[in-house]
Amino acid sequence: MAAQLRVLIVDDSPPMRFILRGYLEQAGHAVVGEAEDQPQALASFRELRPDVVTLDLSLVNEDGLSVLKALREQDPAARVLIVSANSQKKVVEFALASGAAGFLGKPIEPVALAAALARATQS
Amino acid sequence: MISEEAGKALLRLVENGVSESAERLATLSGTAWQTQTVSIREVSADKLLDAGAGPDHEQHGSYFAMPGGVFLVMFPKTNSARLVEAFASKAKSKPEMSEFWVQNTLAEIANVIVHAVANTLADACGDVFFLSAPSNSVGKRQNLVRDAPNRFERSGKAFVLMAYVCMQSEDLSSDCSFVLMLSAQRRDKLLKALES
Repeated sequence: MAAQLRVLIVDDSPPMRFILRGYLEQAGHAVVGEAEDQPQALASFRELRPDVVTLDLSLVNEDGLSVLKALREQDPAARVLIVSANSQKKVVEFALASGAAGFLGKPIEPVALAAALARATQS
Repeated sequence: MISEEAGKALLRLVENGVSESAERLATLSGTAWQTQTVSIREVSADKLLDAGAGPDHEQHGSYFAMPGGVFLVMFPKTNSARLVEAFASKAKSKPEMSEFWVQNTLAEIANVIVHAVANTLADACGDVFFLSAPSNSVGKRQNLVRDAPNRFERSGKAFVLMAYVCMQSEDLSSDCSFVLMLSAQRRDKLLKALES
């Protein structure tokens, strides 16, 4: 069984956060916080120091790539797993080149989520 | 105007994306979905015709805009409850089925399936289609479709390329339709990329 991770979920969709929380908790991880936008994400990251952040690319007030950049500026060691329905080739390439620890396409399945978390926390 | 050959190429591309959408819907809902209709035509934005046949029931609509285009996904109000329940059933606990929850769940489902088509189109032409977060509205199908051209910026001739898709699940007694509209400029860029 994988070691328990402390996870911060960043997604502006309450149902998506609900599903993701359910999957993470069923896998034995702890969801330490949820955020809907960049200010909440940065404040929660600073306060909670999660092992991993799951980040959607499509947020209401800003795009997830700018949130990724801001998180990495706050902490270059931050592990951010992009979880998004937008898995276009150029978007994935850019996100990974910008320091994302991995990319998981929606709809999420528990097995794929577990594998993505394992890869994201390997280093 | 789009040539017959270009129209066929675009239709095939949209069909590929729709096939992926149906698979995503199946994953989200735990049941199979069949594609009923996929069609493409060019219309003048100021004389937009009704997209598709069928009763004009009230719909939960979600708009996803991008420069030069918009996607509109619609679920009938009357038969979308089971789809919402199927989506939530994967989690440990059951959420309260408020109107807020139903609308936001359908918006998230719409986000996932619409990106299947957007991703296919974008990758085919080496472009990026960065869609907005969903903007939700409830109304009759005709009114939602007629409002779609107002949801994205267009310049020049007000012609739109419109793709209409309808999918259905017998098990859930649910259906889903969506409309893609592109400005003339976005259409030309897409067709040019397909030709090269």
